[in-house]
Amino acid sequence: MATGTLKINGQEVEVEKGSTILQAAEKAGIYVPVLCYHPLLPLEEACRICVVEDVRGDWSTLVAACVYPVRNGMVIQTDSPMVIEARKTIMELLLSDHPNDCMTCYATGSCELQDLAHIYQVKSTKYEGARHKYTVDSDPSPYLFIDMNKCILCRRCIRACHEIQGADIWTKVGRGFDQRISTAFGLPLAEAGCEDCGHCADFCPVDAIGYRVGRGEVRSWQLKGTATICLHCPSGCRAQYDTLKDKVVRVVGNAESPSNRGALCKAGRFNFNFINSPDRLRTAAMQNAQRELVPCSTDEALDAAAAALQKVRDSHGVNSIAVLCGSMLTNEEYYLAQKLARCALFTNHVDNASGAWQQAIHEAMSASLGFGAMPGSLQDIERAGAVLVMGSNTIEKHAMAAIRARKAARGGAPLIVVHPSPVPMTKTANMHLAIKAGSESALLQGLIKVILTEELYDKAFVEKCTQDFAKLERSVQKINLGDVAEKTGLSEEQIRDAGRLYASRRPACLVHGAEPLDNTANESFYRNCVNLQLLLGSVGVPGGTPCLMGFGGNGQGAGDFGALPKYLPGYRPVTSSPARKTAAKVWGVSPPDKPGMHCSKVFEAIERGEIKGLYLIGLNPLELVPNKKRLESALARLDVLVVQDCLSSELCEAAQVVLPAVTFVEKRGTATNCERRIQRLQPVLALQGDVRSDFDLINGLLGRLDGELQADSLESAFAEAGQLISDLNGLSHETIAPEGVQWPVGDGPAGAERIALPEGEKSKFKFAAVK
Amino acid sequence: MNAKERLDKVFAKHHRSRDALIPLLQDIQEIYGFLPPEPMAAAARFCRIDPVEVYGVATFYAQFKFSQLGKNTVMVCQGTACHVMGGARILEEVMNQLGVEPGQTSKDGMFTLERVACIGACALAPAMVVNKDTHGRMKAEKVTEILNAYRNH
Repeated sequence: MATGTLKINGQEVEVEKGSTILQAAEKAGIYVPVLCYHPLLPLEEACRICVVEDVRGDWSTLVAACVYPVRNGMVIQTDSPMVIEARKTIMELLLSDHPNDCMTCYATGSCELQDLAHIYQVKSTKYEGARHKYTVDSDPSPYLFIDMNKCILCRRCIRACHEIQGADIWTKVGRGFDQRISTAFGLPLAEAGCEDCGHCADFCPVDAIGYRVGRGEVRSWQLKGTATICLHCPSGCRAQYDTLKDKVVRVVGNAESPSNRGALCKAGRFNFNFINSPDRLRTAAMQNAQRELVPCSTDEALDAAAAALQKVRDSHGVNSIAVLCGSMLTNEEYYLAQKLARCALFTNHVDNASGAWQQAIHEAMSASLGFGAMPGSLQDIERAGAVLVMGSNTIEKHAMAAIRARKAARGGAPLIVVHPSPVPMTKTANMHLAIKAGSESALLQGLIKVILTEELYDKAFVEKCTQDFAKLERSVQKINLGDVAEKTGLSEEQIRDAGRLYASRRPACLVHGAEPLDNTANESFYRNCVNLQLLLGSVGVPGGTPCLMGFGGNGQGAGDFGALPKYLPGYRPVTSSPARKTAAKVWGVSPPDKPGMHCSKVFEAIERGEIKGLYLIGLNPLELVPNKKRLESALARLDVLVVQDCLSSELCEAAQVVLPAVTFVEKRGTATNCERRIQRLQPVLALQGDVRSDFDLINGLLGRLDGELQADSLESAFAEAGQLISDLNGLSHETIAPEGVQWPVGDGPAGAERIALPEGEKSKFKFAAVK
Repeated sequence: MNAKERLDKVFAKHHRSRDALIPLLQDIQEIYGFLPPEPMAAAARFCRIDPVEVYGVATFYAQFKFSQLGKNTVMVCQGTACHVMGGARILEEVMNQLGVEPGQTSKDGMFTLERVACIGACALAPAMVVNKDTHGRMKAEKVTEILNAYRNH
């Protein structure tokens, strides 16, 4: 690699060719102030605070260190009188049109302008002149507080919006003194198409674009920041929760996290009110003899819950109870929940909110690829040659995949968005296929048909890495593009164009996010996703993967750790006798052999009176069904309903026992994102009241039902699960790297980014007949 | 030809690329006299640029207007020579008579006032330009008469 040498303040530094002076200074450990520059954003050169002296023999000049490339033999002074004077003048000019009301400003203490004024001891009184008088709080956004009087025109907001979110809401308008930051045509944010991601506020060095929450109440130095993993969706973003006492005040993305690289979505950043909610359950409760819910200690409630579940089990038989989990539990909690169901209640009726989808993804991937999870990583989307986005409103529900798809599109990748309505992703798409709801499977068949008939597929890859191609070809002959057009509501020409466009640049990424009320994403749908990817040679290669995501925050972990009705931990089928024997060796109890039911089937069984006892862990099933009334009346038929949750809800009224749990930000443990990345959670708040983590509550029940089954600690539960999950390869809490590890865990600390291409004939990827 | 047809014709004339943006915006302004939001958004789609960027570019240039201009444009020069010869006095008089600030259009829609830095007619300082006519060696007393001439035109 070509290098160059320069002298900064007399210190010799060797850097790669093309480095900037700022990078060289950082390497030498020499401080250069910055304002418009941010390491996560493209260069701008707007503020010039980073000027340094470029000494060229008997004369010298000031250059902006953040953009100026290093020359071999360059001599740089970062703190000469000339530099300091220039920086002071820049600061004086900035402060001459700044409100300078640091006493009440929200940013005080975390303001970069304030810090620089302090470093260079600049006061705001040097220049008197015109000042801007913009409206304070000029936008009705519920999340952002806009005060452009504070703006220093660094344009970080513009770059963050463009580069990270790809929403392009902000721009610079006008010039000279009249230049300001604005939306297109000065529209309010909501009308301009703002996606409420909050990145502009994150990157604002002052408080021109700031958060609304906590304003006037909190000062920056009162906040304590702790990073943990967000479990709103399966992306597994690491986020820093800034807290004050028992409240979360704001959430910011973690730049080192490979899942999100500093980004967050609207839900991750702003949907934390449930943590601070007055409706949080802080004490346990149980029904008295008059069937009234009365408060009690958590231990009393656990005694009552154990006795009630035991009574149902003993009087109605082993399959009369179901254990259903929400999507925000930790791996250890899912593991204990399924152990409780299988070993203490003797049933396989254990599931999680997105279990049906996770199970379908696992089965499809196993059948096609011999590997039961997403074969690539989220980062592949960014490198894709072409991207096809389907399923959820991805910008809202699976944002880390969506913003990467936009990034690929900015780099020239054709982006096709499939959604019945004009969702935000369509804005940046080359093609929007407004299909009829629920017709995605048909569309996939059409695309496969076009790519096969027009021979647009990767013949070398198909030849080298796949088998059963003939099976696919035969089944595709039966597909008629006219039928596909009718089912999807598109024209045949649109389908052909889409197939051609998607096949035009390889490798390609297919992004699909599941939705709770959409049951069309089943195993055959997922196998068709893989069929399409295999045709384009886009599995197991950088930039090419099916990116198939459930909707549960830790849905992947729930499946891996056995909270599925058909699978023990490590996806060992309950129907397999060797699998049950292996589990029995670890547990001392053999799990039942009859597969259990998914959530939706459990609800039907409750209605039929077959299920008499229900243990809900962090799940409000009313949010999973279209017909709430029907489920409510079914739940009323239960003999025993145990509700374990962090929030009080209408469900508690019907419960015999209510166990107060905590939110994911108050937990320790691990979670696994959609790209198989296992990460550790850290509590950001202390526990309030007689609450316990779901782990401790389930463990308490386990101990009461069968003391032998109880776990000694989180760590030992993880290690125990590891005996059944061979892909963890002996991983322990201590050996999980800070950025997480992607299973299957191998020798390196990071795990496996993607699966390897098949080497032997037998391990070749399999096409499936389209159905 | 109506505005829509003229707009289609303008789009047909240009390439679908970023470089086409400014000439395209000039042609659009030719049709409407200013840049209305909808044709600007159409220009963005045409050039495959985000609307917000088009707005940013357009507002950078003084030549682009974002509201309907008056029937006549009055430019009062404030360049060095005109400044020395009392250009500020002329501008003040025009502002008073029209009841507007530079950049604004009079209530009756007859005049849009602009202050310009130099029109290159320094020998005639102080100078004022109405539409395409240059009025040199201006005096504040002459403003009413000149404006009236255009008003009644």
